[in-house]
Amino acid sequence: MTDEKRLAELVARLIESRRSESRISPGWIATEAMKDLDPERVSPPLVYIGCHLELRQIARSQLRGRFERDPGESEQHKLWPDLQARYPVLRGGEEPEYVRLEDLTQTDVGYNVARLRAEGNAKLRHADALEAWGRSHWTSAA
Amino acid sequence: MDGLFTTHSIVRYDAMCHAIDAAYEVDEVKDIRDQAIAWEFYGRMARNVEAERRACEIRLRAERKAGQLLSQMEKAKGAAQPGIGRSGGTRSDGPTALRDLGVTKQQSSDWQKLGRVPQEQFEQSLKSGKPTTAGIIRDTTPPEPEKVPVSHDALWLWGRMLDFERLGLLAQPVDDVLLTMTPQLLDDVHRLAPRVARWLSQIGARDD
Repeated sequence: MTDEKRLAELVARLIESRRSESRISPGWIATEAMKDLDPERVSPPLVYIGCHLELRQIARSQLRGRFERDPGESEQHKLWPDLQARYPVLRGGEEPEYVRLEDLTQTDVGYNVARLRAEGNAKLRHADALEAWGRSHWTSAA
Repeated sequence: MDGLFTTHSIVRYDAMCHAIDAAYEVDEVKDIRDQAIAWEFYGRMARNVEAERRACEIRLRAERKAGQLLSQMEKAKGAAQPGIGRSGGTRSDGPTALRDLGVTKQQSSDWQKLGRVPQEQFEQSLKSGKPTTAGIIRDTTPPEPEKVPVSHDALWLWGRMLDFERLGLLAQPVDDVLLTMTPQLLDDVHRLAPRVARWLSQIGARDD
């Protein structure tokens, strides 16, 4: 097993251990991972910070993949099957925490609805424009 | 000095105009045009306004004819095309053919526009103070209507109208579509449907 894969597995294990928690933060996952990798804290401070940053990156990517890109893994909501188990929430910090659907506040829902709508509308507008262009392009060429 | 500075310059000028009219290969007129540019330059240097004007006219006539021949070549793409000419070994079309002729894409485009200028208008333009290729094109080409970008609202409406068709909603009974809606969703739909329907009814059908 490569070292990168070991790190990824460690992060995945820690995420799984937080499964029942209301919030999962990439920062917390990275700190826990560092405890596992360097329990005595012997790394020089800069090395520790560098590793922590990298682990946060890995955690962010896994959380995004798990709760945003591939929500199919989690249990589907009965009434609204498209919903995810967790949603990213920005609470002052620059890094989103992944909060359980049931624990979202109205503001969190609003933030995610606006975010998804912006992404969706941009894609829809792009698709509409491309389709319209295609139609006029091939009609005028014919 | 040869050309338009000789005593037989008028005869020479007429002969060149005739040669341009009779030409059927781009590189023939391209040669005449290149020669005319040199004469134009000499005329300017010698402060011979008349010679410079005639050389300019010949150049523009040659460019116009070249443009007409290039248009014909483009139309003949895929079919048997007119010969590229003496120097052009290849008969391929497009950029290679232009390169063989020593003509840039921009020149080809400008000359073809010049070639489309009606004869009468072209002759009129030549009589103006100091005719140029760009000037004649600008003065004789009707301005393109300004294109207004399609608004987001317009694009959205068009796209959603197509969605009705694309998703097969129009073929489904409305009740089937409403069947799984929660009371809250239904409230919104019932509240907005008449307004949307009224709004959409303003679009009407087009008679074509």
